[in-house]
Amino acid sequence: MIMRRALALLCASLLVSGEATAAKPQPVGELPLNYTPAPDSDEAGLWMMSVEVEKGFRSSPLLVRDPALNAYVKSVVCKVAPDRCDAIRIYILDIPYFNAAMSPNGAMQVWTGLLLRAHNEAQLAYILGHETSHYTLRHTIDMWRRARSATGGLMVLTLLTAGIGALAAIGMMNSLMAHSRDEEREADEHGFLLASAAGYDPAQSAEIWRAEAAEDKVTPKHEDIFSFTHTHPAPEERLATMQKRAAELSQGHHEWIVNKGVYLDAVKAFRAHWLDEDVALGHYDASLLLLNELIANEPESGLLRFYQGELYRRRNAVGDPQNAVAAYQAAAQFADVPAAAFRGLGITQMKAGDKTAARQAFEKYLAVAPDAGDRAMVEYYLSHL
Amino acid sequence: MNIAHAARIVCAGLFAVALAGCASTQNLKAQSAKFDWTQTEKKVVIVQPDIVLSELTAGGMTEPRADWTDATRKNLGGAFEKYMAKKSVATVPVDELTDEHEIQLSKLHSAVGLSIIVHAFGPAKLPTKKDALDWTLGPGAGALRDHYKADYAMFVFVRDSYATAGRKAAIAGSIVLCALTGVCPNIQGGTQVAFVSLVDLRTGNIVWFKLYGSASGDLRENKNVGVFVSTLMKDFPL
Repeated sequence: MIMRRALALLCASLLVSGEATAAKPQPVGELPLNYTPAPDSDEAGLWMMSVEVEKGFRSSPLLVRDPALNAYVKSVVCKVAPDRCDAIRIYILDIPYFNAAMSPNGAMQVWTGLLLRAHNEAQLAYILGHETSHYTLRHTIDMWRRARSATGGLMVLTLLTAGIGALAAIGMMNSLMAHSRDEEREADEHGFLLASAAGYDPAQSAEIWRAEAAEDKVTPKHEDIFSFTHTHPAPEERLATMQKRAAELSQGHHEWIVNKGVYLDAVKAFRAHWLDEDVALGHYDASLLLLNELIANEPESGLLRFYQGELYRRRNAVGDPQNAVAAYQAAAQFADVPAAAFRGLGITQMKAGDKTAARQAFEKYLAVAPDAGDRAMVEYYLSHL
Repeated sequence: MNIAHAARIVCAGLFAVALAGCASTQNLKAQSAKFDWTQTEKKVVIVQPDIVLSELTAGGMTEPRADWTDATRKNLGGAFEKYMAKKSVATVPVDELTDEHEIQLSKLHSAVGLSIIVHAFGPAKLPTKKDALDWTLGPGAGALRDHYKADYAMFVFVRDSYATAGRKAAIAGSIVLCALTGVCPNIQGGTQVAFVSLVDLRTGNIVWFKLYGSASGDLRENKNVGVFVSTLMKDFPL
């Protein structure tokens, strides 16, 4: 009896200690300007770990250091959240997946897979607005406190039920994930207000999710580890919400900023590298879908059609060789066609047994790129055609 | 990658503490190492320790504490210098890593050190290495030699956690539960895991490695830091 009372007492003290409160910890609210957490606080601990992570970004081989691209992305953050402009540091990381993330101390990661997918500055602005909102709304510390309280509560339950309560861990994880999705919704809404207040076309926020919902469906499941769809609302839901919000806001409104040309100019020099990386992932269905999206946005691009050809050639499913030939030939219609399009065309036609066409394509390749590193290989092909 | 890293720390920590109920150490010395000096002065670079002090919450989360970590990092640096001075070895403290290459070296050391614990001390012995200390940070470590004109560098890794009042209540509760029902949940208290490596900057090879694990001790008190360092540095080969 005494023992039982002792156990109840210990659990009660655990509950009142605040580490295992039945009531959910309340959100801390917006981050004050020029804020530094108290040194002995849980928040300071998270910031300290963020500083370590940030050191990793700064010295990472994945960091894209190009000053012009960094200045451009930063300028968009500053337009969306002028009062947070000085506090936020941008780290562009060369990772070919659609993602961006925010540390509680103001370090923002932007992955190149995102920069490849955005069609214009407005789309980038809505995503950066979302990330900025996680920072200003201090979501990390809210999440940490909820997890601490929930795991503490689980401990009490485990002790009081002699271990059976540990089964509630599944429910706890579900509840934490649901909270995470709620925070994402809040960041979507807050980010939406920031970017639309800065004048960015609200319809573009919905466009991102329309494309993402489609791509998500054809991305192989084993790459889910890079996907944010468990902790975030489904792209379909975000699409519907954003369409609704955009429609509300657009009624009788003036000119919105889209800045497609400015954006494409800013990323132009990196496009080929980012596309190479995307092709190298080997998820051809998703890449082809992405390229269709990009080509719809930039119909005059020879570069994009060249990569379309590369993807068809590599996937090599029924009908793909013909699709590849068509894509390479379409690429050749535009001034920015890469020389490699003619090589790709030659290889595809050589395999199909069309010797005359293959010879023409290889000759064109060597004429356009006389110093090509694989010149000897192509000459060998030519000697056997 | 972060999850894998955290898992390795937990694994290394459990192993280090499982070595003994109280404090325990193990060390390895590379057989082929020379342990000599080429520079005019005997000098060791003390790279800013990779250290995190945390609270262990009731539910078992380790919550980093910035104030404890900062204070202990400073105290630790001072204690290492004092120890080396006794051995007539000069030290170059690198108190704040800012150079990108050096930051990467420090992170590399933490990753390699955790692998040494798992594969040299732990159950997952590698057939090609067996018990030999055959690990390296690579020739990239030479940058430290050029920068600081020293033959060796010391890298230090410390993860230290302290049970909150709630965690202590949970541990007490588990003991009561055990007595009442025979169901005995294993609820751990705070733990210390630390390791140091002596790296020959001419080759990048780790020539001496020491692992320390303890379920007691308090590094938040400066007076304990000196004892901690002398335990950690016992068998230091230079």
